[in-house]
Amino acid sequence: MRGPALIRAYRVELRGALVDAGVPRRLRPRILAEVDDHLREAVAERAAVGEPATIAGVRAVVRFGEPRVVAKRFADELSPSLAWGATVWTVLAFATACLVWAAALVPPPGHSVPWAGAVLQEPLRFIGIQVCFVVALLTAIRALRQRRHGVVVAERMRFIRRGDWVLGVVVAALLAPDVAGALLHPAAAGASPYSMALTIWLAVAVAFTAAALVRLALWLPAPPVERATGSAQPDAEWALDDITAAARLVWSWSRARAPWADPLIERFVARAPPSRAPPASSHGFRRGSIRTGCASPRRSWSAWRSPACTA
Amino acid sequence: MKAEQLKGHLDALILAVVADGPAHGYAIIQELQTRSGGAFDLPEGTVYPALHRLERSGLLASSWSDEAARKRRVYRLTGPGREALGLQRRQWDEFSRAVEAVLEGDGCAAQL
Repeated sequence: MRGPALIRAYRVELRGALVDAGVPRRLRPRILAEVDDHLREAVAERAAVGEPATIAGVRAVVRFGEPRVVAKRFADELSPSLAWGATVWTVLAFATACLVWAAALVPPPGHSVPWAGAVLQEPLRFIGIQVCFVVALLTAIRALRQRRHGVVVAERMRFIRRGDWVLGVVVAALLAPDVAGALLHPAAAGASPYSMALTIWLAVAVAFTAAALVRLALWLPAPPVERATGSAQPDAEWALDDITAAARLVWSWSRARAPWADPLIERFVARAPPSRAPPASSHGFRRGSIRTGCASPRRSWSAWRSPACTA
Repeated sequence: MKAEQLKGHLDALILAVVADGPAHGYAIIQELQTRSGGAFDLPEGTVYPALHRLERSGLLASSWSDEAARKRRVYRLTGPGREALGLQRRQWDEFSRAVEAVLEGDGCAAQL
């Protein structure tokens, strides 16, 4: 594999690592372009002093660092500023959920939705708002706690950011019945004051808070790479952290006002297990890199790092 | 020198390099190595995240440049970046004087 091919392979692997690390999509092209420029410059400089292109490529890539480590570094460095955005969105979600909750308590006069989509909409509105209210509160606590720490663990940031794409899906899902109804029954859509305007309002609010729901509660299993390298932490522990933090807030608030609640809260907080340190990294390579041996023509850049290849 | 030893100082080092004029990532890393006499032999990939962070915090600004054969990102120091560099220089002076005084056993200098 010659220099440019090696750089391309590195780029591909770095792109995957950036995705895994949770670096936002909008930042990735620029990062990859900069890395590409850097590596090409390094290879050109080494080639200018007489190094063979392949060796120059290998050295440039090795000096740059393992893609997974570089991507993790990007995620860690960018997390504080991304956390600020997450905090703003969460606070917005919480405020919107509060307003919608208040609005939903007042039934509009003459509410009637004369078509079948209402069967699906009403439970969504009723259950969604309540769930989102609680979740947005917990998410706000989480986001504010992360701000306080200054540095946000990249895995947590990715966990939070996973909710963003859900926003569009939920908006589309909630608006679709009304839009379809308005198209199929234009007269009926205009007849109810509760049909379009409030549905949009509710859909946006539920979408905001559904994103918060995903941010907080997506206890998805960690990707295999992270499990292999031991960088993933048990997600449930994070949730317990938040609940414990909320309990501590309630505790400090209630001590002066309701001394009788102390034993209850104390018992709950004491039940939380201590934080566990993540296990040490095992091999540090992606699975594909291990499977591809030095002799394979389709090896990834990582395979070049083995002494057998670089000797 | 290991990367861990540079933690906390990397920002000031990068700002100092960029203070001399706009530079792209590769040139910044080369300059760091040259000025340190090869002592700061960092994994090159770890400098770019720091550049991005400094840009997001407003201490650096960057833009694409087509002057070279390839499109490349050029970083330059901003006003707040210059102020931050001045502050970090003062802090480093105080810190290094204090450490030196302690290591040499001169307690009076450390109090200054």
